[in-house]
Amino acid sequence: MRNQAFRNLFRRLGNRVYPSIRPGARQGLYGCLENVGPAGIRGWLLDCAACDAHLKVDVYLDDHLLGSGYADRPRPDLSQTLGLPIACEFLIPWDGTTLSQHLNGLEQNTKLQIRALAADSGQELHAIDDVVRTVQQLLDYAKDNAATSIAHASIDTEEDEARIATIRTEFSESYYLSQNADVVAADIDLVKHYYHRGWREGRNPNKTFDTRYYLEANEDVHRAGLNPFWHYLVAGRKEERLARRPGGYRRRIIDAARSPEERAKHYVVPAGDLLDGRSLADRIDAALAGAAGLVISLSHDCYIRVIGGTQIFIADEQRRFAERKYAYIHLSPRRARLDLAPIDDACEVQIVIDGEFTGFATIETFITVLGDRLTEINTPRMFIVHSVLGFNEERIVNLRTALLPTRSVFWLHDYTSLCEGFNLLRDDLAFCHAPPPGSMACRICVYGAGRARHLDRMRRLFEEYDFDVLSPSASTLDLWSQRTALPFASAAVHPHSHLTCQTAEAPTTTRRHADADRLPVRIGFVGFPSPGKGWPIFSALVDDFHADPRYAFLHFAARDVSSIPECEFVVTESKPDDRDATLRLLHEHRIDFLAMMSPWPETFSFVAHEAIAAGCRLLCFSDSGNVAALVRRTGLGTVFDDTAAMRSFFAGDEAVAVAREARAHPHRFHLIHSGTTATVKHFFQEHSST
Amino acid sequence: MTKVRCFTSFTFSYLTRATVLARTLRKAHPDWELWAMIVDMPPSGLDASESLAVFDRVLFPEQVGFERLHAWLFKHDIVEACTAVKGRSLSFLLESDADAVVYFDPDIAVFHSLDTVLEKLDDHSVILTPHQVAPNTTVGHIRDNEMASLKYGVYNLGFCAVRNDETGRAFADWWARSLQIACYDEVHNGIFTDQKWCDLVPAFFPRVWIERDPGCNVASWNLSTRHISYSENGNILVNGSLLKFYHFTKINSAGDLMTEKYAGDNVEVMEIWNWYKRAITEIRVAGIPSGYWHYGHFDNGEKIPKAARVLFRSRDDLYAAFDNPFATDDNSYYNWLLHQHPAVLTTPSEGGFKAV
Repeated sequence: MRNQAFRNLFRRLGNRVYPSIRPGARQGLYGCLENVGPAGIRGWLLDCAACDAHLKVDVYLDDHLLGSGYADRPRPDLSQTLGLPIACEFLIPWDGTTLSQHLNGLEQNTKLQIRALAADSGQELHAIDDVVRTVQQLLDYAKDNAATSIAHASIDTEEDEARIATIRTEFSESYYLSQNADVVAADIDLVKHYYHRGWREGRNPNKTFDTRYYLEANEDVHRAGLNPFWHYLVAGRKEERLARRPGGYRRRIIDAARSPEERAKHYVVPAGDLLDGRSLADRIDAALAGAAGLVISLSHDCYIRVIGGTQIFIADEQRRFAERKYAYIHLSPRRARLDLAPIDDACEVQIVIDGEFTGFATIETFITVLGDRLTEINTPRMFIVHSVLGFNEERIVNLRTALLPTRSVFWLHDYTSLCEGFNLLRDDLAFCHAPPPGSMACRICVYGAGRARHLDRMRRLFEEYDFDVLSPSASTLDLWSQRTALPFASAAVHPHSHLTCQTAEAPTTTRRHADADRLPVRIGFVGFPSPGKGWPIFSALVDDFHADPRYAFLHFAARDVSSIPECEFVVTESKPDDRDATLRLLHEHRIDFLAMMSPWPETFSFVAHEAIAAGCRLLCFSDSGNVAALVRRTGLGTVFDDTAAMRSFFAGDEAVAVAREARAHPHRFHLIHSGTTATVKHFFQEHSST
Repeated sequence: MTKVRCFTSFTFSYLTRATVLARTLRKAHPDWELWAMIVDMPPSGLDASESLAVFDRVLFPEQVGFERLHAWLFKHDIVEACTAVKGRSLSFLLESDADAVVYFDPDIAVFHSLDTVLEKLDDHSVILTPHQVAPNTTVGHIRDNEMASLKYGVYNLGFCAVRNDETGRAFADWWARSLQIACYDEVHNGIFTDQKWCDLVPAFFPRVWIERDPGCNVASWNLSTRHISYSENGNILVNGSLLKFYHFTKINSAGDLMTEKYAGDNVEVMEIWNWYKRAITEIRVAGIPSGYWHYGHFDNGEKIPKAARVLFRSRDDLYAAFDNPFATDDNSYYNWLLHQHPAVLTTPSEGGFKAV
């Protein structure tokens, strides 16, 4: 835990104590404390108006000089950034005496001061007090290391020294420490650690060089036992050998892609005995007593036990049906799946009646009990499919026989009715446009092998039920209508929510104009860090720009969801009794842009609507379905064709300009949750007349 | 072309690959007649007829008229042997009413129809596909690609298509004779199996079509100039042209690294690569031992070192003296080696063959 805390702390510290330098910087003193480690305090300091100025760095603890260093070591990364050779790295080394004198007994309130001086004249150029971050690092370091003095275990030959010096030119101590918690306490120079041991242990010297890949890809280097990073720097790069596996996160996505069956193989099945017929009958009888109608709805999981957009929607739908005095019975498969259950599957279901968990039963038991009860009941009966994943179509057809619904509804919350790959991402990578099942794209896709059979099974269901298809957005219905060959009774758009213009300025949807020019611009991401939500793209954006003082990145997600340290994490849990949590938190954290980089055509997206209502602009891709449609309709955001266009939005001045403009002219919308099956008026007019 | 015969040449260790080829060919060209040339004998316990049912016809080298087959086969390692039989097999298949004969390596898979390629045979007799049809620009890429083509052959003989006319048959006979003489992996001698010979084809024969369609014979050696994408209707495109066939050379070994290197950020290539890995894994033909090749061992079960083959093919007297060099009886080549060159029998083969 301590190492993790140290690592997180250090990551946050890296590049943030001072503003990080950027291409185009032409004036001002820039610098950064990169790490407090075994070798001492390392960082860089540069006067951009006079890059060759000789600078000195003094570090004081309270009034005691801890050490001094000169910013005169080469920095290839900054040289590359500015396009001229720069020597600006400093290292303030320490020895055992320093440690025992200054670090043992160090306290949290010790004052640390860093002074930048002109080396020649001694004139002080800048001073900064840092009483929290760096002192905490020193404390952590002292606790781990005070008992031992710095000593170098091995004696290097001249050849070793020369190679170590070469490696040092592009070695990132901050990265090395951030990735190797166990090395933090090691009693050696980090570059030497990598040179002698680290590469053999598969550690990487910086973010851009992959030691394992280089050895795998270059058998000659492996065979010769050469330090791979040194080889790359002196020869490999010139020979066009690659420093890391190409393809980045997109490659990782396709390598991780698995068939739905394989992905769901290890899903946990909830424990519990099956209900007997009598108990189930009692519960159903209680629900039906005095009910004006009955709804049986299906979805892929137990909506009262899982947090998510569809789950909240179903909860809302149940509540609205309750207002109509309808009993609402929800079924979800006990064993979750990402495809239809096998034909011979007994299909045990989780039963929720009027919002309360009732228990488990086989669907056949449920059908028998329900059939018995319905023979004497003449109220309207609706059958609503939110998702069929985990069910098998024959059991659902049997359910129809017992229920004899007056209306059957199939919601297009996703594209399961077009493919097992419910978000139409070929190999989880890119929107496939739902091509014909026999297409070559389907042949190579992990979802392709089962698609033709899946569509046959969907056809069986659609032929039996004669569904009224409801789509939460026009873009989804357009796409579905173009690509489906399934029969249906009707198809219509019924949005889950809509935005209305506010006439009066309300504090929840406006911003203070005085803040228009404030930096940084704040960019948010909401939800689980999954490829389907565009997390890898957001993460790459954070990677590229987190050190840029113009931007700050925030991640809004449920407790315990993994994130990255460069993002401020905001615990965000929307629940049926607190549906506005996301909207409220986006507003409170003054998010300028919400990144919604979904690579697939989202069918609705509550988050997009919540973000607009919270005053955010949306950033999305043209293939993002209803998100892109919402941006185009409202003008509140930017639709990019690709990641390159998105990067240039941030690399240049456009993002800041758009954010400032948006703050100066805040929009005012109110979010109204409107659409569930219970609000489709003509469904109930028919029922009234019959 | 109304009647097309198509063949591939392989051993049982490559049966899964050959099966993928046959299945994909069947989907693209259900009217083609698929032939398997098997340079092997089935391992005991394998129901070869069931495993090979995806092919219309199966051939063994014994059926296509090689003289002193065992002595000649012994000269070759597994890759050399599978390529050495291609010319003779081509001639054999042309001795029919087929309009054209097409050859594919077993580690190829066919995607979209080859009709636009085969229609070139209306005006030509031989179709070859070069390893590269566009030059590279960086030294590293040139070293890996152009310089490899200069060493191993300009054209990739994982594919060729031949019209059943006088020129087509002349080409087949010439190729068969050449491979009878030397089909060896001896780049230092200017020979690389069946392939380097074919650098001569455009000079020796008229009406040779060099197919430059980027959708043909896509592989790591030309990915640097080819970009794979997918259309909205699910077609796979290479530089905008339909992907006809992809050559999965050295998959699960060096091919993995070269493919990902040259695919770079075009990870759509790796989707195809991953699909092929899944496809050959899912076929799972039981009963074929790892690395199996009937002609890889003496009849006492001992593995034949490459050095024993190289010595045998370099000396006409040995070739003349031993009709069945796989034998290990008293008058055998094996026994001769044991007494005259025992070190040859203990020399480990370089590289070696690693089957799925």
